[in-house]
Amino acid sequence: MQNVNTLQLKGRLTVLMLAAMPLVFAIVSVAWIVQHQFDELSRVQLTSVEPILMQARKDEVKDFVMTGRKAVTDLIKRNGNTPKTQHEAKEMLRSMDFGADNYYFVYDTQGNGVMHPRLAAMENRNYLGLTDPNGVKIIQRLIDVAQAGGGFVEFMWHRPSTGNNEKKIGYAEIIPEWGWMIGSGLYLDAQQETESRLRESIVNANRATRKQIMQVSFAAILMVFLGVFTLNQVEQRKANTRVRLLAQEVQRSQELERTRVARELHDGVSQSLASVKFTMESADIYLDRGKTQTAANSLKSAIAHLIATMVEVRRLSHDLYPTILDDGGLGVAIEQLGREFSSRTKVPVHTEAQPIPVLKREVAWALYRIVQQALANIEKHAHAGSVAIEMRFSGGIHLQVSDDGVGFKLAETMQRRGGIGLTSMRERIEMLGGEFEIHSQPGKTVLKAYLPSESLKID
Amino acid sequence: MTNIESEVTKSTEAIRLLLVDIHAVSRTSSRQLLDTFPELNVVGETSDFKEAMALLDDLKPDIVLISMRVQGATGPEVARAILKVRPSTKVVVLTLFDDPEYVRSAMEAGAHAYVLKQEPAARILEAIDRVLRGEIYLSPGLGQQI
Repeated sequence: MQNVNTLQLKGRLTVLMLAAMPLVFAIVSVAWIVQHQFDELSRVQLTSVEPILMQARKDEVKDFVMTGRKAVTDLIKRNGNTPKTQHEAKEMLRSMDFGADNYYFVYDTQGNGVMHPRLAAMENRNYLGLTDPNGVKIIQRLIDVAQAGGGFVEFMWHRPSTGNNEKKIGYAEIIPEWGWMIGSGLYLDAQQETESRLRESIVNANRATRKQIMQVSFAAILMVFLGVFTLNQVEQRKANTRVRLLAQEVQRSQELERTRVARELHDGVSQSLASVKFTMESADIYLDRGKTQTAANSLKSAIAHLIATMVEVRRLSHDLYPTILDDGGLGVAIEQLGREFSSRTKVPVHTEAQPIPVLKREVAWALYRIVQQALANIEKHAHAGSVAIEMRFSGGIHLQVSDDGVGFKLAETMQRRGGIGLTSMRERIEMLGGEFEIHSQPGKTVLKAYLPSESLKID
Repeated sequence: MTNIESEVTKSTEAIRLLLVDIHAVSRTSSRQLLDTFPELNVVGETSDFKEAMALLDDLKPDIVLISMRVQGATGPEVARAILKVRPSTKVVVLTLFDDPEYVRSAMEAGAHAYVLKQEPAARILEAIDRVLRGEIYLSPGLGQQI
């Protein structure tokens, strides 16, 4: 039984592994693919979003500069092109200062500072040569794009609110009446912020998706385990039912056997003994009457009955338990079964049973019963012309009983009550950790049982 | 088995017996035993219920000895059938069964005596004697049991 349980456990673990391994593989693959897709997606999104954001910043700064220029043009139209108007325009632009970093700056086309709300010292000085850390001639470039009809310049600039050099996009136009270049710039940090917000949201989505994958995976693995567990339970129940049926069958056959023995004891042995008693009483009466010859005949008759009764008792006890199993070993016991079968049925039996070293009693008994049952089946159903019994030892016991009878259809036989004989043969072998098989066709029926060495160990 | 012919001459007043027992071996030897008594005349024997009924009609025995099982019927069934056809017949059960249930079922079916095969032959004679005088007879010990 130990062996059987271990085998079942191993089988269950294998099933579990087989079921779980592809699942784990699938989950890991899906997680990898999703991760890869996310990275790709975020890259694509960022690259596609970047120009849009940049365009938005550009539009913003361009609108701001155009607004300033238009305000100056309107002022000139209203107040005329005078130095006073020029001064008013300067002050107007200086006052149009929104937030920390949004303001106008004005230079003339020679690069002299005209107005800068943050750096008053810059006014009336020439900045044509002003370069940023990357070597961009800022003012020169701004004047160039302004004279070309308005345009953008990217450069690094000292940011008043943080005190750092930061990336800025500048836009400039010309106020033709005065030869002014009016411009403004926007720091690009807002864009970087948007980008990092976007990147963060992608990372969050990625994390959420990974979490969902983990949850689904966990649920799936749990389901596999539950499935295997349930399967296991069902199989356990089936096995229990089989064991119960077998136990019932064993009990039933025990009862049948007892009934048979009781009947044989009553109808055979007891009646024979009663007959012996009657005959001896007759002899007694004849002796009383001096009829010695008749008395002697009665006694002879009684002795004959007694001998028959002794044979009957011997046969009965042999049927109950073949002591030859203990006294002569399994090989001899099987030879005896073959010989008895042959003398009873007149069907020749070829028996080749190797003597096998001392066996566990239950093993010897199981194999003996299988041969007995097989012979009984052949006698009842097969109409065989010859029977062969073979038992040999090589890495275990191989037992084979074959006949050349009419054969039977295994499936049909197993469904009928008579098939139980086959079931109990199989159960006997499987309980001992062995294998049982039977093949049948007209003219050839072969029953094979194999018990591996491990199941043969002596108690 | 040695054939033992009857050494006893039967008188015309001998009691006529019919022997009904499913077990041939014990029937033969009990017949040989009964044949040793001059006052008894075994007029027929059988193991079968139907044949027993036919013989009952033909031989008109005074006494029918029956076992508790015969071919085709149980002892009590045989007793009932006999007494229905010929109520004057005396039915004696001769059997190995000493269980009270068997004894009771036989007596309820109308049997007049219940004798065990394992007892001395004299009991059979005693039973026959008693039932012919209109009494009921049970092997010693069986009476208390029922």
